[in-house]
Amino acid sequence: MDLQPLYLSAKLAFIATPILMLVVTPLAYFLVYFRFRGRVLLDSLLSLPLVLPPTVLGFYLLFAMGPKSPLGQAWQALFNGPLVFSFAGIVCAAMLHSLPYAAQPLKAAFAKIDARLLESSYVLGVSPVATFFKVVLPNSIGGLAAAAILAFAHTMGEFGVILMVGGSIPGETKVASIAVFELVESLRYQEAWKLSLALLAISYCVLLGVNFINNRERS
Amino acid sequence: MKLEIHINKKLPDFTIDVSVCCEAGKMQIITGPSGSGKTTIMRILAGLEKSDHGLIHFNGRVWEDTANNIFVPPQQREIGYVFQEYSLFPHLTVKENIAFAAKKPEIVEHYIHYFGVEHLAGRVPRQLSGGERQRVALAQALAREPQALLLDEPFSALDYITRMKLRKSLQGLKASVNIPIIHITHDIHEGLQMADSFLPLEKGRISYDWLPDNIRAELPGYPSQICSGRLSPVTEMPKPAKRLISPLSRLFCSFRTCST
Repeated sequence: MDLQPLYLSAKLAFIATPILMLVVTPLAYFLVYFRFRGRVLLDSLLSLPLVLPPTVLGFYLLFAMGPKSPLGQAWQALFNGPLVFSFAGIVCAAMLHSLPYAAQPLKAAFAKIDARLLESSYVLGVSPVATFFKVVLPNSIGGLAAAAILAFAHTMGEFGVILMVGGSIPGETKVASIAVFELVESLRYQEAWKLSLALLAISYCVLLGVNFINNRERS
Repeated sequence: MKLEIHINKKLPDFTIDVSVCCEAGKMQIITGPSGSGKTTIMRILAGLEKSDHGLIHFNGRVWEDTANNIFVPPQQREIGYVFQEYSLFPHLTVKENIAFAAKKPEIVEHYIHYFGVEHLAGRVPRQLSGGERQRVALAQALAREPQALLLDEPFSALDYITRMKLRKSLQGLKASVNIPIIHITHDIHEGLQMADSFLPLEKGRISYDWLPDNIRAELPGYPSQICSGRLSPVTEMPKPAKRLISPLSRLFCSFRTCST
């Protein structure tokens, strides 16, 4: 069995998840604790990947990151290579597609924190930023872990968006889910079985982890 | 060191309109029935809410002045605030909670000993009883060496014996910390026992009408003060303050009763 697609999926998930967590954590905090005009619009926009067909999202991203787009041109100028059909491109696409999957448990965890704890911190002289690190994050460990695990699992199994933005370049953008699709297309069922089983085991372990965290939180 | 407050804030059912002041080493009790606006006053004082029209001065420094659009956030007010319900950080031990905003480690040790929580230092809040939590909350508020202490019914959920013990600890503290202490309680007897100044509140305004007769009978002889001045006889009810803070009412303390 060719393990390269599986390795590439894991590499993608290990790179995209921490970057996504860095972006989505303050974003989720902002959406939960700050009231501003257009909050619902922004929240709905960020949740779009939950309901949008991955191919549609991928189609838009293909144009947004393509060589004629400002982003694609800036990338080309900076790194001397295209953003689409590259590993960096699928990292960006995977992050965008997994964003709501990470944001939902984080928002739930932040909303669960008693507002009195934040007020208590403020009156003790701690700034809102320091309060975020000293009070909010330590009391949202379960939500953070669940968000990271879900984002990781979702990225591991990413298919439509990756195919649209990255194509299927072996060793570059051909991740496990795309490899399974191609194996089935070429009637190589035995290899497809093995790769699918590996993805199934990883996904099951991830869900087991999330449930374990949730149960621990409840108890 | 003096804390002067003139607040006007419209709530759904009534308007809070009070002037209070409290000097260092004194305890200003604000009492009143549930829903009389006590906690809102405290939250405005702490900077957790804004008043509609208000002026809050502390030791010559302006904390809030709506007329000049000045509002100092709670982080910069250097207050200690003990909430009605427990608000200790659940992820920290007792010692870490007390040290959360402490400037000096020796202060943490001092208050751990003062409130007798040495044996609880390694526990987390969920392992403490109600009385223990409030002792830790008091220690936490004092360990940051506040310039004023605000107590929002901190003993309301405790049993009688525990309340008596904490009341005693607080009385002992009053002189040693030498800062203004504003204490909200709905327990009039508790208020009378602890007060240097006594402010009965009803629907956001100073009112003696709701006090039981036997309590009112105690008041004239009691060394209570409003705004650091002597308490007016019961028959001379304090006039309700104007809704808008006028320049005259800003000087409320100075002109009315602060000349003691």
